Amino acid sequence: MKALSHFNHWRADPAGWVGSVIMFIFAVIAAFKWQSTGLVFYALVILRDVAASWFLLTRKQASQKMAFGFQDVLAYVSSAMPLVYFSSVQETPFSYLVIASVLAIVGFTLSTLSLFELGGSFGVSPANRGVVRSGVYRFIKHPMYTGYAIGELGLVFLHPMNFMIFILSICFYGLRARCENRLFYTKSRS
Amino acid sequence: MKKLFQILTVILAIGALAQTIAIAKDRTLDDVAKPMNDGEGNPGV
Repeated sequence: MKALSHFNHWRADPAGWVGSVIMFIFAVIAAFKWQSTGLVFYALVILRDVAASWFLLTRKQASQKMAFGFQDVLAYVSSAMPLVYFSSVQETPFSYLVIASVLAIVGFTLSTLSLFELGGSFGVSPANRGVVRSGVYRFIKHPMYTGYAIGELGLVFLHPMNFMIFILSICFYGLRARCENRLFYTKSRS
Repeated sequence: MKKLFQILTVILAIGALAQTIAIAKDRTLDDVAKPMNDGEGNPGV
């Protein structure tokens, strides 16, 4: 019961609740995939999705947030981009599948490590819940986006069309990073 | 707590990488072991 007291009220953070439910559904899907394929990677996905679901329910209230607009739409569209990629075709060489798997694992690990570092500061659309500069954030300014980009680079090996989606996705991550930098660093300096 | 979960993340990642390498190795060995044909021009199974 004590754990439940950490949850934000749904009226105070409706986006957090919606995001949390979505992440939990992703975790359940990953659990089924882990059970059917036996791939350890899906255990990593479950850990990430359950953690994201928890952090979205218990996150800090934003001290600064831009009015709903382009940056929010961009954040949600960009988050859904990994679902747009084409899966592998029958002619995909086995070595490409291995490269894609390794890149997916490395990218996912980096983004999961940064998620745990962010903790209650985690969110999809840009909002200031306290700037994190510890852990992986000491070395990379946007490790979560970097991790996603590495993982998605692997998908380029699976289908020729994925290259175009990858370029678009990287542009979205770049724009998101710019929006966040503007919110975190420009305002805190003044 | 945060560190514990980060260690768990790294352990799972190493496990996933090891599994990927093991699968790749098995597949490569299978390909090597598979005969190109049965000696009479018929493709290998």
